[in-house]
Amino acid sequence: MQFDLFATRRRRPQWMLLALLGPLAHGAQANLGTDNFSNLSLEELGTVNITSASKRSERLGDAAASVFVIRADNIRRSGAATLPEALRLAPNLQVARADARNYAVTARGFNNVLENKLLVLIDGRAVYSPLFSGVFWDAQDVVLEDIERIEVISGPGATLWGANAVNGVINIITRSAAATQGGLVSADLSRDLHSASARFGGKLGESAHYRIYAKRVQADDSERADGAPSLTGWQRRQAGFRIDADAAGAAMTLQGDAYQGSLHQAGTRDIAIDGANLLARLERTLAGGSGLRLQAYVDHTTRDQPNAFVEHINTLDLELQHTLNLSASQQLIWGGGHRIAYDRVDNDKKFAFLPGARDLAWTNVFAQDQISLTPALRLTAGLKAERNSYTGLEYLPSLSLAWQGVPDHLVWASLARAVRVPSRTDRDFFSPTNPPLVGGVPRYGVAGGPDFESEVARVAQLGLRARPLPALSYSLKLYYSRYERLRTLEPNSAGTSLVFLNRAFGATRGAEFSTRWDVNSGLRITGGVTLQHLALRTEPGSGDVSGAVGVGNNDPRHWALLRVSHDLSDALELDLSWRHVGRLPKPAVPAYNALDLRLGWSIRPGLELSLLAQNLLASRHAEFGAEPARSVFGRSVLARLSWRF
Amino acid sequence: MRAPFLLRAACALLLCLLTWNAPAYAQANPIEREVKAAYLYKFASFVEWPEGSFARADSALQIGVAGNDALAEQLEQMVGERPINGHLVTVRRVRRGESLAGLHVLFVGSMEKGAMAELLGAARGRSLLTVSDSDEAHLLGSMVNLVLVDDKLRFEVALRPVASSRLRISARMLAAARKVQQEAS
Repeated sequence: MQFDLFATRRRRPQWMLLALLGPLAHGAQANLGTDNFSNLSLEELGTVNITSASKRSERLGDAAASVFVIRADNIRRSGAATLPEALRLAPNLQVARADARNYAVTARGFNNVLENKLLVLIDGRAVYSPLFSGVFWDAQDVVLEDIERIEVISGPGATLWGANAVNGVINIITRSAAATQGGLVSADLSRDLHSASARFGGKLGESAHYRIYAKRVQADDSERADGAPSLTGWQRRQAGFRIDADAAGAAMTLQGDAYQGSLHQAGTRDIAIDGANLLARLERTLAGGSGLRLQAYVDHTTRDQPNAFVEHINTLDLELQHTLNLSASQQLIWGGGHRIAYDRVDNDKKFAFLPGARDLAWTNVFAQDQISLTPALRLTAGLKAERNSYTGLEYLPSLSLAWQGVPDHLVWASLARAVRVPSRTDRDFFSPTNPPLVGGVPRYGVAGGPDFESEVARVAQLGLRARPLPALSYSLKLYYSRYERLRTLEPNSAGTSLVFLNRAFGATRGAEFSTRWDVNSGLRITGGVTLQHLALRTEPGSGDVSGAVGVGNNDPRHWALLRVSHDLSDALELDLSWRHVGRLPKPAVPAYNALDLRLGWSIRPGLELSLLAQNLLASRHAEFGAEPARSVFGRSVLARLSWRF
Repeated sequence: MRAPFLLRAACALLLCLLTWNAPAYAQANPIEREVKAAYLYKFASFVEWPEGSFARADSALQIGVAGNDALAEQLEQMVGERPINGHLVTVRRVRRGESLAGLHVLFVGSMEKGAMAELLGAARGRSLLTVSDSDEAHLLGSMVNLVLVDDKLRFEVALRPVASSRLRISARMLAAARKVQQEAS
């Protein structure tokens, strides 16, 4: 069917922003506390009343959410050359490379290159296409050296982040301009990938900093299992800026990016993509340690995909969040947001989004209260009400309880409901564009999904975070999720066409484990294992064909990650990274092991050369898709030279 | 719409919570800990380390914490989110007898006097900013000491140990200090 065309479709805007707001569900607010103090000057610090207890404090270990944080240094030492490759560092994420530019990325199952239950944000801007509720990974980039951290939440985050934060949230946060002063030039070179980026940061007056950057990446076609080239190579150019200013207790950020790229596609001219965005954010610390955050952005993307469509989306988004310390033991966060996406699709022959032009809007209000029941027991309850253009109001509640009765150990449990609201694909997808008329009635192969409703997940989680020794910490999470009204593709009542309906349901359960051991100051070992089981079923009477046409899920039962970072000397670093991914059932992909080895050499301060040898264990392995067209990846060496001045 | 029960339950719960004023539980004075952590961060941004203190221009700035695990944890929470002059910050818990090599800042918390003298002795002559929160440690040679004055946390600087460390503390930081003990004294 036409669905494989989806595999090469992409676009963005959408969802919640709260993101940046504060990192995670809970971790977020946690950081708000310390951030407030570290924003103060030395003089101001000397005026804080220590015992006024007007502020709440929460240590990272207290965060009752399944959060994994990828740090800048982790990314540098992984040698990752692209954003999706860097995401492999999170043991709670499934990352499968489909070809040169397509990735299937998810948490907690349902993986697919059209994955649609994960929310991804870059500096608070959703990079998530309302076309299919997923991410066009081939259009997303940042200067990797400028990333401060990537927060990966597995599990629902809908109460703070909104509909579609069903199975996880990826929050990519770049450093402030003040933290990227001076110059950086960096180049990557391997057989398949050439990349160069340059960044420069400086001061604007007394209290403002800026940076500007430009980046170009070119990747060759990957190799198919049958030896032929997979015509999915690409090149992209991107440039942008960021300004951060401090003034009178408020922090202001203004940032923007613009990109343009061309992506190979079999049998046609290249797909042309371009986009630009501009974001402004204001954060203010109010009396008593309360905080206010206001953010607005505009985003434009175009994707001209021959034989498929030309899509232009313009998105406007506005968010507000207010954090209030109601008392020493109670903190309330409330806020709201509004987003509009003007989606314009010029349809081609094979399939169409009808109507071609559609304006989508999402409006939300939310509140979350956190209260200390006893010194060791904390309850958090929240609710978001969000209205969308397709299904109207959706309610996204969550409830969690965290107990810290033993020092350095935190036990938490949570319940949450999250939904994936319909995307344009679910409601507006028709194929072919000009169907034959039978008795005056158009006979579509696929006739949209006029009755498609939101998919619903109800999730229970239990977690433990512990640091039994100063140098050893770990996190264990167990979850059980029930899904209802999952998408299926069914014959319509007349039996003449297929339509999208919600006739599948099921349950998933699993365990996520991650650990970190600082053996000594020059040796660190991190690792993680995830086990999961998905039992998805169609309702009686369902004639679902989506599995057969490749829009179903394809998930491993387990995967594991182990990294060893060793400083051989002041100037030499050695990194070893091993991962194992279990077999995928349908289409079948064998289990694989991959070993990467990196050697980093600091030639002199500011100048670093590193060599990354990838996939050392096997001459080639596949990660996603069906033979013989799927791509395979073999041994390769990537050299990187970076110079800071 | 969906989930009316869940919704009502959640609303009711939220209402209950909002109207409930639980007693304030002091948790080992979190504010003091947060302010201390913020000070450590700030201090590092007002200090210049001699050439060679960082292997690379973007090498991590290492803060060692001895005798205060809660503070170390507090700092870890801030780590990575706020680089100092382009350096990411890492936190290391320092135990008795461990080498101080690679550290840029050392916090000396509560411990018995022998251990404190040993630690500050080992720090002497290194390009290592030593910060303490007790007069005892300050007398034993810490460079910066945090003191509680009228419910506020202030700091004092002793320049003598700074001199041999090749560190440069900015005038702005000295101006904000409650007291600066000159080298001669």
